[in-house]
Amino acid sequence: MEIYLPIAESAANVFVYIGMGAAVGFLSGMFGVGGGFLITPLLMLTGIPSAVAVGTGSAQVVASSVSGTISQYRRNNVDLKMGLVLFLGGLAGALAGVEFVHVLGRAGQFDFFVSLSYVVFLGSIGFLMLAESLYTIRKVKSGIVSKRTRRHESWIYALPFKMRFHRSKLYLSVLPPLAIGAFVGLLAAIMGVGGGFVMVPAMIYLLRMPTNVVIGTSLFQIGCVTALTTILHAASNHNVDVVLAFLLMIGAVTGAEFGASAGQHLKGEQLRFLLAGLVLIVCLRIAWDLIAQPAEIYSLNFAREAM
Amino acid sequence: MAGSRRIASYQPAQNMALSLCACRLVFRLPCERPPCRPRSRIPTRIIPDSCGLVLFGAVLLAAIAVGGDSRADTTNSPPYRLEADVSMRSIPVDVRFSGARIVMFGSADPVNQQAGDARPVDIVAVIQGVRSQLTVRRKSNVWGLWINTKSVAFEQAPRYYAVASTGPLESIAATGVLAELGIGFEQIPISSAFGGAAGTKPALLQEFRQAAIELGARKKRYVRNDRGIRFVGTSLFRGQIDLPANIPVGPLEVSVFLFRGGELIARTDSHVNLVREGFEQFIYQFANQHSFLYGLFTVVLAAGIGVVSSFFAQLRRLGG
Repeated sequence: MEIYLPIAESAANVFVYIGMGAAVGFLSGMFGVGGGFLITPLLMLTGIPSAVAVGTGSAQVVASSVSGTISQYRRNNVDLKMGLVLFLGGLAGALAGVEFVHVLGRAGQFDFFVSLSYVVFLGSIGFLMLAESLYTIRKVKSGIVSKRTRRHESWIYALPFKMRFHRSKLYLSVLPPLAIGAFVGLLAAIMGVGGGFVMVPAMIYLLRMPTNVVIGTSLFQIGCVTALTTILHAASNHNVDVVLAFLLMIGAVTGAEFGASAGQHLKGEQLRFLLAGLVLIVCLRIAWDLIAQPAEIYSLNFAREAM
Repeated sequence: MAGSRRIASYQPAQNMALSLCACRLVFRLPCERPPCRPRSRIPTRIIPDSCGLVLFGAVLLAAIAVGGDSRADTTNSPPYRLEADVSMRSIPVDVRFSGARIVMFGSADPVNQQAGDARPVDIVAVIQGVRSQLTVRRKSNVWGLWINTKSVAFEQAPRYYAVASTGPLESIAATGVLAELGIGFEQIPISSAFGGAAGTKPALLQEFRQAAIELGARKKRYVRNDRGIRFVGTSLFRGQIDLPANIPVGPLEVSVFLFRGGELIARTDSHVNLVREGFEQFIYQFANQHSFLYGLFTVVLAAGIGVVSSFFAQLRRLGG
């Protein structure tokens, strides 16, 4: 069944995009990630203009992170105060990011920059996650249980403007969460992702938040930031296709349900290993396009008429 | 709305003479019996095409040509009367839009035919979409990565261009004649007002222009069909151009030219409008005119779907 997409200005097969949403939703439900890093490149591969893919991808992340946040909130796993501080940072980052997208688009470097960001971030995070999960799997096999050593003398704890985060059991300066939030907001706007893959490690290793609160809080912040970037993209770049987003969301929330129950049969480190593999595959695929001789050396870019 | 427009009036005295002196002309393509389609000037609504894909609102396109066209008029009495029609003047772009087929038909009636003049008659149709600024970029390999390194901005280029004819354009008229009329790929009006000002070298400009045309052709943005128009019967012709689903929405200019012996004899011009309708129109306007609200709406929709799905998930967990 073909349907005409009003903003992408082309006809699309309904089932292709619902299916794509379902597949990504399955993976995101299984691994507890937003799935933006999968949906945006997939949309680009199917010929959706890259700007529309980024704008629409962020709308899809809103749906899956809202759904995720609610179920985490029921288990009291969301630190709202921390989430709001992160979001304040995200606000600034997203505003800068959307403006940056505008500038890059005019310079003709948008696609390149997005691809490069994907390669750099997915590559490094995927590699770290792979190494960590392999290390843990081997350790579990050999039966050594190591106690996590905590360095309390981190410079992060010496910063001013301290605030108490009850849920996370932290007494911490607001500056690091603001900075992390801003950075993730910037990435969210440029890459059309939620940024969970950057934020979760940052919360665990830099802020030292308890792991059970990390997922819920990051989902909360991701939901807020992607909601914001969706509105900003729609308002300034006109690149959000609500029809396409709707198809993806319907698929994604359905897929996420099955993914979540599939994920329960796997151990944490096994999930992280699989996720790392997935992240690296996406990374390599995008890297290939940057390195390989392109099919078309030239590209045409017609200015979108303003209404 | 852009409608048919009469570009040149024809002397009424000659108008009467035509259809009967139906003339044996040599046409380039095999003839069939003309279809039973009334050549009425009154718009005929919705002619279903055999492909069944597309709706047809058949509308009269344009009337008559010549007479006033000094380039074409070599004698005082033009030898042909050209009438052409497109199947629809307005193409709705709605939820089900997946491209459209424009059917053109018309007649080239000899009026002032000199006996023994058996030079072949050719029809060429050009369809042009909205023009907008075009930036052509070229990638090159920088330290192993393919990056856009060179770009040329053309002030205006058609977002869609199709030319259909009764034969290869080269054999229909000389390049100079075609160039003057903007017919053919080489003549796609890609203008570079910026080029001179920005000091872009003419060779570079030409290279990027050529690249744009070749890439446009591969992407089916620029289409050429040398067999796109056929004569059915002695004076009736029919042709079709398939518009792709990703055609830019907006007016299309349609020009039909009649050539004989390499000379332009007549032309008619008209418009076909691609018009967003219903839901598409609503969403498009919403997204462009109230873009902030549109973004907010998208987010509320997304959040709503998230809430509903978590509600169902909860229900299932409680139930199972």
